[in-house]
Amino acid sequence: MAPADFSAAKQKEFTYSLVVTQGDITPYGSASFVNYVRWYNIARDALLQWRALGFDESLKNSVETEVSFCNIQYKREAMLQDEIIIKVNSSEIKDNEFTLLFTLIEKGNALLISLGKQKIEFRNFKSGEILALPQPLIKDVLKPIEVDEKNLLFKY
Amino acid sequence: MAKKILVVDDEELVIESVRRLLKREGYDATVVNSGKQALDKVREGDFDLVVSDIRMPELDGIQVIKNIREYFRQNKKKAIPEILITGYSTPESFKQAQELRVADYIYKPFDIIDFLEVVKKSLKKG
Repeated sequence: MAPADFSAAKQKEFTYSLVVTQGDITPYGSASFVNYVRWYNIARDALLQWRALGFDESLKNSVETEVSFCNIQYKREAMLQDEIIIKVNSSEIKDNEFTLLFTLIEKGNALLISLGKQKIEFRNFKSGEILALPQPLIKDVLKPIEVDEKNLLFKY
Repeated sequence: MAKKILVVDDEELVIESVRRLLKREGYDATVVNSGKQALDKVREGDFDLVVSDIRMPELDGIQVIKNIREYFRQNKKKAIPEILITGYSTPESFKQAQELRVADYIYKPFDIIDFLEVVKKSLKKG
């Protein structure tokens, strides 16, 4: 059976890996919850490193990412030296905003650590204007990892 | 009669969601959270499909499927289709699923509409 026959071959997501370090943990040895937020932001920025893609040349140094909504669910603790995988999918892609869904798992046993959701828009910090999403960003970055949130196994 | 599906996963959130989903769709779903319990259930009753997580403590999904197949072979029972699910997909787990020749392989978080399609397709292979 060829791998392409498996449904997994059609599933798409952006993944970012990191290891829990000494600086992430509390005196009790587990990562503080606030780090989950920070890890989501790191994964988001890795995904959107090309956010200037498609913006006018004049705007490229004036674009900032704005999170207009954020939700995080704690499922279990992450411990020192745990390898973490953050899976990112996009959802609800509109003209000037989109949603990112984060699934944070521990690599060793694939246990769910946290679920997260961020609604994102781009703002011209000089003018304060919310910018339309450039088509290349939609087509090349967001669409390939798009899911329908209401159909997903987990509720974010 | 409703098709009987055995779901094996150590993630409570997953087994509860999948159990509710399968029940809503008219399947008779039995959920367990370890490979050992899965083998006990298979010995107790007949199933039409097994859905198993790959990564589980003690007995992983690959071994669970191998053991179930061995039980069927020894007891001259008809083999049933299997679906493997995993928290994240690696080339190694893809290769393992391919070598095992399971009916399908999917990773979390999956689309439940896709999952139900996979279940239907896999049941037809039984």
